[in-house]
Amino acid sequence: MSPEIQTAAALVIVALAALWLTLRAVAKRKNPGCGGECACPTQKLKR
Amino acid sequence: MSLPAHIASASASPGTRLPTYALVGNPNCGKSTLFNALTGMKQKVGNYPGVTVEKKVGTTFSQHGQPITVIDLPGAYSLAARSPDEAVTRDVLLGRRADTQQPDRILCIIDATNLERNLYLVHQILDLGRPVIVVLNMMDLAEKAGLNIRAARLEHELGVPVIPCEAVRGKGLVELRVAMSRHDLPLSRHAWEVPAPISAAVAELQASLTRNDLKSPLIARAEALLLLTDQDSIRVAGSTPLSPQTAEILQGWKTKWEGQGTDWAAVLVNSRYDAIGRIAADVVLRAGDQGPTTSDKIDAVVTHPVWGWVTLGAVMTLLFLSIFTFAEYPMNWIDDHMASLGDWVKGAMPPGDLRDLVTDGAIAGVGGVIIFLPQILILFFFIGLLESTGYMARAAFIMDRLMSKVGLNGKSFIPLLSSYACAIPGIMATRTIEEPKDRLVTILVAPLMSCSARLPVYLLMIAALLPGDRVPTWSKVGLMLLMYMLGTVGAFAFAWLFKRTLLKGAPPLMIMELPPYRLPAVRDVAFHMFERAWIFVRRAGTVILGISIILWFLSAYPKAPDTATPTEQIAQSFAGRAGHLIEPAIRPLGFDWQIGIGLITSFAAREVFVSTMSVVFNAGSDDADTAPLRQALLAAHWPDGRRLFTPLVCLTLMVFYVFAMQCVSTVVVVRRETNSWRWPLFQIGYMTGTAWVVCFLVFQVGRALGY
Amino acid sequence: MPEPVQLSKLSDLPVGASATIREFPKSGSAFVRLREMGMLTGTRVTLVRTAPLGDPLEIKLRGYLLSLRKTEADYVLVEIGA
Repeated sequence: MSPEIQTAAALVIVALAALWLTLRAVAKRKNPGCGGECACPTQKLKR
Repeated sequence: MSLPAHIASASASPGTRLPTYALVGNPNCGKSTLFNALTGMKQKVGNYPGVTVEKKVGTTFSQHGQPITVIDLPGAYSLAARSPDEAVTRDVLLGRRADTQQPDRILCIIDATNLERNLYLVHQILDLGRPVIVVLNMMDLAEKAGLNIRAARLEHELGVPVIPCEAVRGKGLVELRVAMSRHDLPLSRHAWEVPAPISAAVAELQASLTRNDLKSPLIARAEALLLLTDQDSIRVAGSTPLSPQTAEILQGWKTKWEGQGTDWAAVLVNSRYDAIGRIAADVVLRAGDQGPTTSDKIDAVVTHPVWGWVTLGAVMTLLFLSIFTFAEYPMNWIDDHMASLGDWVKGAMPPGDLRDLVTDGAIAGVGGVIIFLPQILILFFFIGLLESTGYMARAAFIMDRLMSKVGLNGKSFIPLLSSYACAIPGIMATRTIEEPKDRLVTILVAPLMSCSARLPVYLLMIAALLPGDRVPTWSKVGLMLLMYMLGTVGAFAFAWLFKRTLLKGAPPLMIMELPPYRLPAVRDVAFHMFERAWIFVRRAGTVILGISIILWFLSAYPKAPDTATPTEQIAQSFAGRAGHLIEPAIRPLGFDWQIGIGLITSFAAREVFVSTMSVVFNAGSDDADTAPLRQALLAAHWPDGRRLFTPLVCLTLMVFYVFAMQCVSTVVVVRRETNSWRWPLFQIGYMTGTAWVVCFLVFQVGRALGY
Repeated sequence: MPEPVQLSKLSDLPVGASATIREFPKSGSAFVRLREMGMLTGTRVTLVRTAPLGDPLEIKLRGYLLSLRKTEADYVLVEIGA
């Protein structure tokens, strides 16, 4: 892997990380407490 | 005990749904042991939306292998809630929470050694008119205490199945499963006379709840009864509010009774206990007084005016010894493996930014947090052990007086103490504090207790402050103790301040059950430990990974020419520029922009300061104990030739790390535990602000004194 | 004429003494909770001990142990030896 491709890949990852952290903070506010980590009843349990 | 999934799904007939059960019971009655025994590993743990109350949902299997959903509700003494935990239990049972399906049936676990008080909750639950199974737990202990509990009589009196059980030993589980699988659970013949002055109000409230709040008549009656004992009803997020019509009727009756001097809550509670007293007299046969129990004998020592302190001291010493000795081996192991993982990546990939991102960003960042996992595990295990044996309540009992001086109660003691090792388990342990404001105060001040991540910083600064080999050990130890004391005093001072200003509230109560000592349920403790640790690891793997990558970017970009040394690179990176940017703010503390870089990069985790310093000052080693970094720090100078790391600056830096909130993991955990960004942001603000002010005073006064 | 009963505060009870609760405050969420925990007028309680620093108190009632602070126990009036 050439250094140029590596730099490009690294920058993409950094951008994704930044985007993900921002989205996460925003998404949390809309639906407090019910992100991916909590045991919201799944559709199956809710039935 | 549960059947493999493929058998279970094969035998489940399509279209039929087995009822959902809620598991309720008093605290300390073996509820979580029973839940674990029923559901095994098939659990999902999370939070109820909007509140920080743990939500546990598990699956167990009927005798025919069909899956049954069990919701483990928080322990409660009464449905008239006094804490967010109890409020959630109440709201789920009454169907007030839109996020949780109202359970079809209720599994009520009671402690056979303490029948009367446990039956109070059962009595309230029978009002709900749902099928109920009563699990009579700890039958063996009741027998030992000389109590003969006639389960058949209890079953007859209550009119619902009563299953004697010893959850710790798995006894009675088969019978319980059979009962849970029944299609036709009998409804209780639970008809107790609501006393005269109250019954008219109950009827009116019931009618209004049915009409205006669209409740089914039975639930409406239970809710009406509850509204009368719920004095300052705790409302939690996610719970449906009462209709104004009903609220008006309720207020009308209360005003009327107040005028007449009728003590309506007492009348209700008394008549329930009268009914319970009659049942208990029939069910329990006492074999006379058994004299002091083992538990009483232990308590005579553990809460003794002298031996109580000795015991507390010994338990705490053992806790810290194990954190700082046993944890060392796995910590070194993690450290070595993280290092060799980094080396392996370095060897396997050609040089470039992606490689640096993986090694210096992801591996180093996550590794720096995961390394504390052994300590965190030990802490969780110890806290679980203290809770499970009953010692936790005694520690709270002993420490209550001292904690009351700053407006908290004894329950804040263990969380604060745990924070000396790591604030994360401490903050997660605050869930035992009932009063939300007291819990918040404890969370806010817990990170001021000097945690073990500050140690590398303290060690480096002490080495730079007292260079040379002939420095007496006591002066190093003294300095270290000073830092710990500073943090402790700060924590108590801020707790006092917050309780008086921001989070003003009535002095907390200390109405707490002192449960009998029990042998720890090691399986449950271990289970709980892994559950908690998993939450932490998942955080480290996600949020902290993201933040590490961004911090890496900030110190790797913009790029210096290829010929640049790492020192030159970091100097001209975003982090380096930020260091220059904040220099005016930290100059009054005696810090230059290079120290500023360390303050910025160590925001993720305090110990990162040491490795940043070694890059910034080109020491080629990031071990605080070895000479190169110490030498490099001593050689560092301001542009005008003054020494940078004077003893005063070293001391000021240590003080900065005592107070500043430099830990992303804690921020993330506080966010989780307080359910908003407001409190972690406030915490960063007040802690870092205090750090600045105190450092300013230390540095300026020190300089004025000629240091 | 029956002799007037001598009532004392629960917080003034000597360690180890048993008494019967006679008067209990009406309002206050602390007292509603204490009631729900089984502390009612007519309930027998034993003051088991005080914490090493004198507060809170540990009492035994209905076969279990409960701690409460003196600030609450001050309002509970008991009849000793009844």
